[in-house]
Amino acid sequence: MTAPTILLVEDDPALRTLTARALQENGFLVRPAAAAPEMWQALEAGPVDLVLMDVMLPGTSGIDLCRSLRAKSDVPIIFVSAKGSETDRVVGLELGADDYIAKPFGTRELVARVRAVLRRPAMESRDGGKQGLISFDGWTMNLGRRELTSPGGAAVELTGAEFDLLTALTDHGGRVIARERLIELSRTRLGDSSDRSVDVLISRLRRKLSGAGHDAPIVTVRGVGYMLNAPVERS
Amino acid sequence: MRRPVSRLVRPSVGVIGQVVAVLLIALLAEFATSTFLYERASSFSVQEDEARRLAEHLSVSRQLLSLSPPAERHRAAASLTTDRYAVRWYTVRPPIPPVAPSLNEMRRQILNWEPGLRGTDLRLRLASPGRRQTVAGGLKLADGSWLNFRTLHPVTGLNLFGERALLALIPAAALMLIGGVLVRRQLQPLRRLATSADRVGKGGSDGSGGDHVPVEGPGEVRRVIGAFNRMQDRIHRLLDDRTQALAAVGHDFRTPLARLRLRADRVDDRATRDAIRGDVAEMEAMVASLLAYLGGNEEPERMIRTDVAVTAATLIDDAQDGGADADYAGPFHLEAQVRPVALKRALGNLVANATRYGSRVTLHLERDGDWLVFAVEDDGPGIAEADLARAVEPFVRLDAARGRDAAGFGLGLSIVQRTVDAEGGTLRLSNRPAGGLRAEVRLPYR
Repeated sequence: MTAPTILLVEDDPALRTLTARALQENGFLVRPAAAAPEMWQALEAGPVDLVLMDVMLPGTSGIDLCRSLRAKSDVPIIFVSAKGSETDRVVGLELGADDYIAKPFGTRELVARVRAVLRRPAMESRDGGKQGLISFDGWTMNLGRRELTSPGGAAVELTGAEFDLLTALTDHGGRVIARERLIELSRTRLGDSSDRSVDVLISRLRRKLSGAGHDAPIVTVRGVGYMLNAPVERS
Repeated sequence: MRRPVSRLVRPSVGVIGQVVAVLLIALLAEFATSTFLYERASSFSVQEDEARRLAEHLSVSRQLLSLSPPAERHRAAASLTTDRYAVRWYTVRPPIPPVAPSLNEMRRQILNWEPGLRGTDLRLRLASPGRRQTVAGGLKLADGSWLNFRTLHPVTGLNLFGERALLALIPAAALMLIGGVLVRRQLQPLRRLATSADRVGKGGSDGSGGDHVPVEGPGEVRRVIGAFNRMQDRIHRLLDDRTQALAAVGHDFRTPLARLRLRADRVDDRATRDAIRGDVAEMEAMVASLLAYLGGNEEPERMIRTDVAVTAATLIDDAQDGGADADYAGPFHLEAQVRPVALKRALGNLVANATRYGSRVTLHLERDGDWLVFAVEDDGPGIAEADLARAVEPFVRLDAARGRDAAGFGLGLSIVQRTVDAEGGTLRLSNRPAGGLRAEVRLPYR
């Protein structure tokens, strides 16, 4: 298996070098670019598995660049931003970025995010699934904005790990997912922020998804894993 | 050098001009009242006997003077002067006072009683109207000379009290009314100016500068308003510049921090590596709090129906994941209209403070009528009563009281206070009887 190629767009030379080195040391091929023109050249030079892009590039704003890149290609995009504001995050994700990393970040978090995005099921990114809505049992998940809405229409806040866990459960709606598989999925996503066990995350999700008088549609299959016990619709 | 005054001051009547106008209008009102009063005087009637007595005296005086040789007439007139009437003789008609109401009705009464006085061109005037009701007048003798007279006592029945009062009151009332309206109109721009001045610096709706006060009113006021508007522009420019500069510094800090963070990962010595990571995390927290505090001019977040109970529980989950002994005490679900990011940041700051100073943290949530009540309690040292008010001020760190490990700029509580103020809520810090601090946030339940 060939190593995935990552196109790194970052205007700060030192940070570009450091990021490239961190990725290379973790088994990725890196094609660095300082700004938009170099990025387009690098894209023409050969196939790229993922674009890691600083939002605040000189010349073009990263947002515009993301929009035009998304118009031409489905390549997964991870935004890097020094702004770290919630608005930026949502705008980036809505424009079709697959994830968002705030500066400053550590090697472990960076590699975990990159791996997680590369590992996402192809259909999720290729079918426009990122922009899509998933609904089950009255609940709605907006994958682009990473938001969950209750049957009553209220925003329900989940941590990143909880959201990913719920996404994994909906991906296999009505089928049991082995605990080990869930652990693997949540590990890649969480990076170094938490080592909470899947069981704790499941119990928190259950509490947050419990409705008035009825339980969350997540069932434990003893000795095997967990299952989302509700029909899942995608739109 | 800028000479902006001429640009802003359209030709206008100054305050002095307006005061003159007010006085002029009041004088006109007085004049109109007087004229009206004088017109009415012609229809005053006096008591019959008063008219009769005057008629008889005039009749007798006329005959006596007519019979006297002209050389004697001055003396004769003097002898006709009683303690009631003064009589004088003139060869020509004495000048009539410019404004003196004529007493047509009284004249009719006199002529009715003494028809002999008809054809003598009898004239009656109210002397010094409005003050003493004395009557003056004259009549022509056969040879064209004039007999003049004046009553020395007030004429009874000529009750001018009401008119006198009117004469005094109407101009005064008019003066007050017109003056009041005009002054009010004059002060209107000043009032707007005051309202606007109160708003300066409280964050414009779009951050592009506050409302300009319309330049109107008297010239002097216009100049003040013009100067105020320009000052307001300068203040907003200063605030914007400062905010943008600091925000830019904040953003630019993060790139070197990111480099440092990645470099730290390459340090072999574990203790050093962890220490550098800790430093980077602390600097990042400071930059984030500074940006959150300065970000007040950003477009406000929209209100979204949110399950605030889950938001609160998630904060506590995060604190537990960070190793804190934290608990959430409240309902599983509670939906309300809030600005979720701002709310999360505010509550997060309170929880972070609590975990920093205490070992056990509880986040309570309840709905109290029209209020959402969040309370973060810790078992730390609390805050000295004297410092409670100061604790929410920006850049204040009560390190002496709360240990020196405080990270950040001391903006945490200021950010909470600002968020709460924006929603019309309250933040209250208090020391718990059992020890530790209680930070209570009340937000309107919507």
